[in-house]
Amino acid sequence: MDLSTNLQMLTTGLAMGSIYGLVALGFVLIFNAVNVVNFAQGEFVMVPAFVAVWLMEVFHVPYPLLYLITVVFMGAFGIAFQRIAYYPLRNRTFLPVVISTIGVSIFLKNGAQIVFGAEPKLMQRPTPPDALNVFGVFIDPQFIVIILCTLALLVFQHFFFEKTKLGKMMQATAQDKEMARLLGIRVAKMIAITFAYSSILGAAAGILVGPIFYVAKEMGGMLGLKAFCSTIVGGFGNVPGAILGGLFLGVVEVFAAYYISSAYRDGFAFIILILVLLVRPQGFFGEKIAEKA
Amino acid sequence: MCMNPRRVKPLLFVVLALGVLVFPKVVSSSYWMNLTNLAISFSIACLGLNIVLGYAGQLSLAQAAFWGVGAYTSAILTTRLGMPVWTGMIAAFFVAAFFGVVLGIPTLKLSGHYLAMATIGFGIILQLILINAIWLTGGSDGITKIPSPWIGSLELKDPNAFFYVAAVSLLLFTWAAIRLKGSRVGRAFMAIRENEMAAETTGVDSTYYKIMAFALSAGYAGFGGWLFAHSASHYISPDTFSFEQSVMLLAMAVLGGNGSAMGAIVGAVLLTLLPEVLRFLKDSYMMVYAAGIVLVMIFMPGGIASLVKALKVSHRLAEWWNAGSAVTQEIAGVASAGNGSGPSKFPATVADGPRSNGALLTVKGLAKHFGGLRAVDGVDMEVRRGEIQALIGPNGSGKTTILNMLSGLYVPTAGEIVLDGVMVTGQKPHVITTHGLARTFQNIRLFGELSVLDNVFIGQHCHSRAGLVPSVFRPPSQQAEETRMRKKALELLKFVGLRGKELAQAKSLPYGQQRLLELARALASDPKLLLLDEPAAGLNANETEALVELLFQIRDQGVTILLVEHDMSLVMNVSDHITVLNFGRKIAEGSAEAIEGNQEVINAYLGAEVGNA
Amino acid sequence: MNMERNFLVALLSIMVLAVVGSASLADAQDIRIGFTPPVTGASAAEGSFQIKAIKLALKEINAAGGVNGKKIDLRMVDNQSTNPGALAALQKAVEQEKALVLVGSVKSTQILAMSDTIKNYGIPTIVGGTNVTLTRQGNPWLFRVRPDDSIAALAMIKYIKEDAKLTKVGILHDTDAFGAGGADLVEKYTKENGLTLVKREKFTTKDKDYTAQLLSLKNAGAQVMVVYAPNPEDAAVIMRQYRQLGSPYKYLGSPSSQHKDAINLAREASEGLLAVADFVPGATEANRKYAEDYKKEYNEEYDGLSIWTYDGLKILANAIKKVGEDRAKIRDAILATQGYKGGLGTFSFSPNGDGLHEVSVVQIEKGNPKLLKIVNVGSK
Repeated sequence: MDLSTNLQMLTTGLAMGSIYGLVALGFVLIFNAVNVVNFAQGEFVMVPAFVAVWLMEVFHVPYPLLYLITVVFMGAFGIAFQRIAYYPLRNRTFLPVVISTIGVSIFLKNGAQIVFGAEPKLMQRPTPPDALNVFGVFIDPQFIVIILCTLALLVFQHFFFEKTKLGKMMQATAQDKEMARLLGIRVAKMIAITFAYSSILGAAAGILVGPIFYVAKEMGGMLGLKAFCSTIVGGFGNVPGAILGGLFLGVVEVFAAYYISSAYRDGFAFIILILVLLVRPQGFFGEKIAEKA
Repeated sequence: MCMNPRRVKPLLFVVLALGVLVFPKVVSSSYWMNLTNLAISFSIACLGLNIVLGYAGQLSLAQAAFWGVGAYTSAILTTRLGMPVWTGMIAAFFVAAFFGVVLGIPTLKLSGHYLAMATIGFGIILQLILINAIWLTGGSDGITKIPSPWIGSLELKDPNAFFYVAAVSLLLFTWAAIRLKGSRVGRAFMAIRENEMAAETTGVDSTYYKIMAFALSAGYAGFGGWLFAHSASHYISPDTFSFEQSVMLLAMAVLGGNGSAMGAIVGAVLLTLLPEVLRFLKDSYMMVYAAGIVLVMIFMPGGIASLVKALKVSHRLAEWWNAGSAVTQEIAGVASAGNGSGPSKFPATVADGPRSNGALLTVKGLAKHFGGLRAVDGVDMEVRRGEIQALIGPNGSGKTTILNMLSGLYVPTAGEIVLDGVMVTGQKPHVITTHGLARTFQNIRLFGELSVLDNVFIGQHCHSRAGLVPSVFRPPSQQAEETRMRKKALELLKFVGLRGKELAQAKSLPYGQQRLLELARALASDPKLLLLDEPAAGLNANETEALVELLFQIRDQGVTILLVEHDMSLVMNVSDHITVLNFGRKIAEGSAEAIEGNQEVINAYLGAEVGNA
Repeated sequence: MNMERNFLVALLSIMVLAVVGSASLADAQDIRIGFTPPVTGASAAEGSFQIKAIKLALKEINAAGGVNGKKIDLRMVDNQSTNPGALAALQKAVEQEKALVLVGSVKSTQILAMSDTIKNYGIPTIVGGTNVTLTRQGNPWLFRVRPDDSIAALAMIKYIKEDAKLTKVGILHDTDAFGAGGADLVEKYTKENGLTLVKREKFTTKDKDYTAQLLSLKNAGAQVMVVYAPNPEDAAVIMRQYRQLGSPYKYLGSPSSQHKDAINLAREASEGLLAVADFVPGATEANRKYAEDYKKEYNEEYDGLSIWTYDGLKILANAIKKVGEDRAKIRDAILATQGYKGGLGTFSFSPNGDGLHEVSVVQIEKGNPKLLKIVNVGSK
């Protein structure tokens, strides 16, 4: 029960949590816009990671350019994804869309294997590999970068959605497509931009997380599921809630692994999910939506 | 077609039985036999998924976990405790079904994505338990030397021999699933799928049936797992029962066609054999597989079943098959009874209970607060037996909220509701329905994909009894009940004027007829009190007139009516008594004339509507 | 509707074509040897190395004139990294590809899934799985060409006790079959040799963070941590996080810790770490030659965990060369193989089918496992 151990775990928990939150951001956006749960969100992290590694290894592209290319690529990827997997199904019920995104997830995982090979890859770190020692707590400098970037994204997102015209148009589209269309907003374009933006968030996550977890076709799987849990815990549709949900989950996970059972670590995320769904289904920060009789 | 379907049906069974017997001889390699047995195991799991998802509309991504529970239950019992394999089979079904209940209970209020996530989590947790409860399951090493079943002194070790067990099981489980669909339980499932809120108010206990659906589907999967454990490798390990496998089972069910038992089997067989067949693609076969799934979703969302159904051949086959059945004859009989003016009687069971000529419904101090908003703020009302009362008021005055409280969709914050001497405050909707209350909705809530006839069948749910077992086995008592219900349904449809539309899909009806159907469904539960929420909304002048006629006829047969309406001329025309609300409170009540001239009411509406809107 | 129908027709045609196409042409001049690696699925990464290794052996055998004048025809069938897939692959290899003998899987659970059917077919099968029970099931047709887990575990404990002279042991292991089995053995030998097991921590495969477990072992007073992490990414993350927490105790890894992929990912974090290797790198002539030939063929360093397919194919070829194409005779010939020098080490088959009984302790130096000590525990 000593302080240094608990502090260390708290730090790691927050770091893992911010990764969940980062991936969760992508989820929330798509869900808000088109009411679709994207089961391929984890692969939105995996694909740009592979692309970045490939650019690094084959073309030796320097970091800033690397990030730019990957981001642009993912933007295009997002638009292509929505055209293929979502657009044809936009008027159907949620089941075909769920299965379609699952199908895309499998397709991407195996496609990555074919294009990039089956072995896990190392992504060069922009930060030094040795941990920093801060008051007796060891922190991987990459985690600090992740936390800072997530905060920056949160601020940027708030500014973008609340203060810019494009952001407000996207919000309007998310809340009421029909009305938005009547007001002259090009709804299809807004949806495409939403998917593109969500993919770019995935690119950020992939680039940030790649150096720590290595790049392999399975890297996105559990990450996506846990990010989904974070979104629900925080409150579906609520952007800051997704991040906070992620942080909460990350911290609870590591403490439960230490004090209760490390073998069931993955299970805790889902136990929390089920508890939250039982007790407070709108999540900590979400709004209750009643069905109109 | 000159062949009598009644004579062909038994012949079909003989052909099927012969096919099963001969199959292993035709397929002589144990490679394909083994795959066939695997496909059958998956098929049964998919049939289960079809029940919970296709029939009841609840998405479960934990099916592989239940499949695993069945496999492990039987493996543990047969290897550790030396029990016979047939005992293991029964245990596999029921233990898995138990876990289905365990999953069903906490997830009752969830739907759509939330439900999907909860089931995913449940499945992952179950798999973790399989891996880590080493004392019970042997952990990741798995369980080896799982015995084959014995029949007498014959060990069914060979895949050919095992096939018979698998095939017979498949036939039985499929038969049960198909039987279930056309029964009272199956209709209850589908009602929940189509519109859970309406199912509840129509008298279906959605909690009970949802749990039953989960339990059944898990039981099916467990049985499939039993087949898997005692065949082929005679070995199981936890890594087989993963989330990815659940996804695979879902893909099978959807490919085959959600809601179709045969579709589930076709989907399972196709997707079991497909990887084998696609081996020539080497390492890109999974990509092709996945791309195929996406394409199927886009181009064939109803799966193979819908494709087959759409063929002209299938239509004719279906017609021919059903031609001789009792159902069709009855419908034809009633339809041919002539186009005469609608009978002024509909079949109603005389209501029991205290027959005072006083109040049927008494409401005291009823209130509903949503946080700070007082939607209904202390309302006293009385509906007298045999009258038509209207509840009116400007928008937002609390009318629909009161209806929702009366029908059990909302729990009142305060106050009490007494229906024919029974306190029904805060009861669940389906319970209130059994006490004699039925309702229609402002936004029509029909069971859209079901037939018109089925909608009215479901209306009779609370006055019929067939449970799970009778629904599948159809003893004479169940058949008699179905006949009785069908007769009543047909007469009700005739009463509201929907003769000839019995087999049409509910959602295909024009708007006015949909309203009539909802009315028929409500009447089917023999209500003492009928709540109608804006029954004339969207109706033209002719339809409104016909509605008025119907309302009088219903009233004349002893059913009390409370209706919420905005169409003032209808209200004035029809009502014996009117209650007026404003801002959640009663501001006036009385006869039509009294209300017409009431200054407060006029003020509330800022000028009362005179004549048709 | 038309589109749907066309789609279904296309789907069905592909399937028919594929079934027809999968019937392979038999060439009487070749000796067919089946191979069931994971081409797709979760273990695809390992599979790619296994395929490279076995293809090198195939090339060498056929270039040297084949076996008894015939070429070896290697029939590869994907086991899809699953148990049912492994069984289907086995059956397809034997029934459709007409394999005479088989090089099987490296995953113990898959081997257990295939075991009964291998026995029924009576087909000599070389496997690389290390679970101790594999050769103790009474299946006379299974031959294991890697040292089983008990040898590796015993070697670890011996090294800890005699060389490192430490007494407090902690274990961090994957809960899969390999990890749990290995950890059980280490626990057993720890107790038998008078050492103390301070804590046993677990993780699920592909977990991303091990802080809790690493700290827990530290707080329990472990002087050395034995790590069983079969997945190279996991091993690499563990090594890295272990370093970042200040290397609180000594590190001794199972064979997967010195897997090429693990070292490549962990880079400098792996430098100086100890592991047990289930072969003897650089010690034998045959091993050095394998390293050279592999490098020449593929332009990269070999991977220690897949040499078994290379050796396995050669052992099978040698047996067939000696006794011809009778399965029972081949079986006896394999058992009679003693002192065969392969890339993994010197093979001498014991009556239950185990071929290799020595492991080595290695230290990772400049990205390669360097031999520290050989441990031979004899035939069991």
